[in-house]
Amino acid sequence: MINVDNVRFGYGNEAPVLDGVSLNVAAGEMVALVGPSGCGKSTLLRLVAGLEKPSAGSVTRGAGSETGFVFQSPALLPWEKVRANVALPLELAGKSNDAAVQACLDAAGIGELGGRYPASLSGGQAMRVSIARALVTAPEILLFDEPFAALDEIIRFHLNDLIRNLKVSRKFASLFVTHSLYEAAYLADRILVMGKGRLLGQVVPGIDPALPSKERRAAPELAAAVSAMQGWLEEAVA
Amino acid sequence: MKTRILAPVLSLLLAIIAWEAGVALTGVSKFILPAPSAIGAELVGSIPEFASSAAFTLKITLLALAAALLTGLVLAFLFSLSGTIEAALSPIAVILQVTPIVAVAPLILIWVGIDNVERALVIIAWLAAFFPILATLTSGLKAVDPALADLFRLYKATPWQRFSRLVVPTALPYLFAGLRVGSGLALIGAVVAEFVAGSGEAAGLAWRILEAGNRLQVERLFVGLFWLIALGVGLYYSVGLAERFLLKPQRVDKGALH
Repeated sequence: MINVDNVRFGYGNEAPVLDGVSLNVAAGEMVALVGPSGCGKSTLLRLVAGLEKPSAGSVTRGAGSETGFVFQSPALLPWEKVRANVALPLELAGKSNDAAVQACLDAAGIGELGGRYPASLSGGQAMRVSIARALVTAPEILLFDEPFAALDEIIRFHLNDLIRNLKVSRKFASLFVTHSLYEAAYLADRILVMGKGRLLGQVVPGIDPALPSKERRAAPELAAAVSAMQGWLEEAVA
Repeated sequence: MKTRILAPVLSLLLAIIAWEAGVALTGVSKFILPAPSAIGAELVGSIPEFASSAAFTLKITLLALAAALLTGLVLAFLFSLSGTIEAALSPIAVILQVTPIVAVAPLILIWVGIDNVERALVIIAWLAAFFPILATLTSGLKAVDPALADLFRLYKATPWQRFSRLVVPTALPYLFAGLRVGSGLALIGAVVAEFVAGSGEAAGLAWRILEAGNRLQVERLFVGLFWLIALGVGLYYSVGLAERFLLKPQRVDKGALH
């Protein structure tokens, strides 16, 4: 669904931000990208979204596939109500679908907030609106750029579970950038560890998908995945 | 909330009482400082003359403000389209801003004011009001949230969609900030222009003040000031009201956070 082949990216004559990066994300798969700040993971996400063009190599997405993007900030229009914010991607394409908008609000757990203005929402609610908006075009690909970094841990846990449920019900392929190793291990089918513009290695947590939220957080496979990521990252620094 | 209205009203009332008592006790000449009661009587007695003068000054101010808004909008929009245009024209705007209008007023009166004083007055007041509107709008048009800009690109918004749905609503609060400052400056510009123009066709509030000053009618001087203050405050709050009406959504819920 997402295919990144030997991509290079840089600004002007500076050292490239990304160099020789290749990855694949299959349909319905969730891949997390972890790494220290400035390693190029957000840039990689922007390349996949088509917001930047690679200097070399190629980025391809499944033919005709819709892409949704969840930013670090909720990025809502403060002068529009929640419902209009969620409807925005449809409206920009000259479409309207009230049922789809309400379905996405419901799916994000904020079905009753459609008539509110963003300024009246909590951080977690605003992020749910942002997720609902990303879902409204029924995307085959969803990209997440550290969406929960600014939230309280408990709210973050709830939103992690929301993402896991949506992944099952909506069947999108996704790339999830985070600097939290635990979040990566909890959410992803596969984790790519990045450092200094390259992929360092891959970790597959392999946690039983049937485990409920609390047990999943306490699973030994999760701890093992975190320490494997730690290993890759410390090796890169050394 | 009650104290927020009551407190300034009371303090103003106290000041007026102290003024009245001070004048009565010291017996200061009415040519230096007339009592508030005398000013009040003059104010009531001169309503017809001063109302027509106020209407004249208000007309000049509003025309200048409208011209400043229009030119500010057009220029700020051009600036947002091209850095070259901004680089070429913004020094001229700055020169217009830093030159004291009192100093350029005689020149403008000579150029365009001989056959039509009103036109000269509007241009002088426009000069005063134009820059803050241009400056705030220029920053407003550049203040778009980068994540929202990305969002619009991601969903392939047309340039018009981006402008109307993102850029204009972002810039609107800046526009009102500019209008607030600009409306006050347009009034100051109108008054300065009337002062420089002196007597003649111009019959605005500034001219009434000049006339009263020359005749040592100090009560009338105060009445003129009163009308000017009323105009300025009225303009300021009219802009505020329009702002609250147009920007309602962004403000209404702010107090209701959690």
